[in-house]
Amino acid sequence: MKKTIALLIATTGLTAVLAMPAWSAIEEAINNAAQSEALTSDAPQDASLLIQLSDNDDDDDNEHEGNGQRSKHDDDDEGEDDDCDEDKTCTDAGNPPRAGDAAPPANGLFRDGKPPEVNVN
Amino acid sequence: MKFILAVLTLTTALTLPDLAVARPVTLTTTLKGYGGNGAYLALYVTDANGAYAGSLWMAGGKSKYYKHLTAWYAATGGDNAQINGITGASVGSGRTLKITVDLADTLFDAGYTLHIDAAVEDMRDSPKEISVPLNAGSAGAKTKGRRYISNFTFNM
Repeated sequence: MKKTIALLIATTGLTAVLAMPAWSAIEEAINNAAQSEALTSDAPQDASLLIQLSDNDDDDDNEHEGNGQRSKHDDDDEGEDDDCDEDKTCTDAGNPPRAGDAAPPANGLFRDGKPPEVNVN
Repeated sequence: MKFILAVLTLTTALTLPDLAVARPVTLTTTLKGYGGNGAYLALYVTDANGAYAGSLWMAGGKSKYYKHLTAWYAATGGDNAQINGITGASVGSGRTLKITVDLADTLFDAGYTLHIDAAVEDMRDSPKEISVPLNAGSAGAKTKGRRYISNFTFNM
């Protein structure tokens, strides 16, 4: 009886030792497959981005010079002006308060928080 | 008499540093006639090590475009807190932006540099189009821009 139990323990241990690398290999293969799937699924997105960038000038006359330029097309609110009106504050909550609506930042550059005087000619 | 002299000395000693803390500086930026929409301009300062020290003015009110002021954006992460209360309208082609501000005296002749990033819709971004050392020798001298800025001067 003791011999049988010892034999069973030995075979179980041997199986576990042999199975561990095989299990790791399977897991690695699954991960690799997932990664390569992610890579291949990224490729069409990049391609479509490139196509869109090169295709942005279909409704205006300005010449596009590639990436690194400010464009209305990368926004989701194309109907809006590019700037806030002189007499109104920007209603978009993500915009910073204009001069006069808040004190200048305490960055040590301004004396006593005095805001700059600005004039555009 | 000695007491009055001592009081006068003390008050003078306390007043002088306050007078020397800041000086009015006029920053004048004239744009070229590039023919596009209003330019977004970020005026900011870096220290002697090139590290961002703070912003002086942001011309352009919509934060979604700030990423195109690439060097400023890289330094600040587009943090609106850097430009709260020092933001105004973008500057049109051929126009001149004049900013008068009381700047801390410690900024001058101490290795600080004033930079201007510029961006115009559907045109190339122009980071650090102007970089001028904040020292007495540079005051009044015209610095030419690369793309959208015709010239920049600061006077104090």
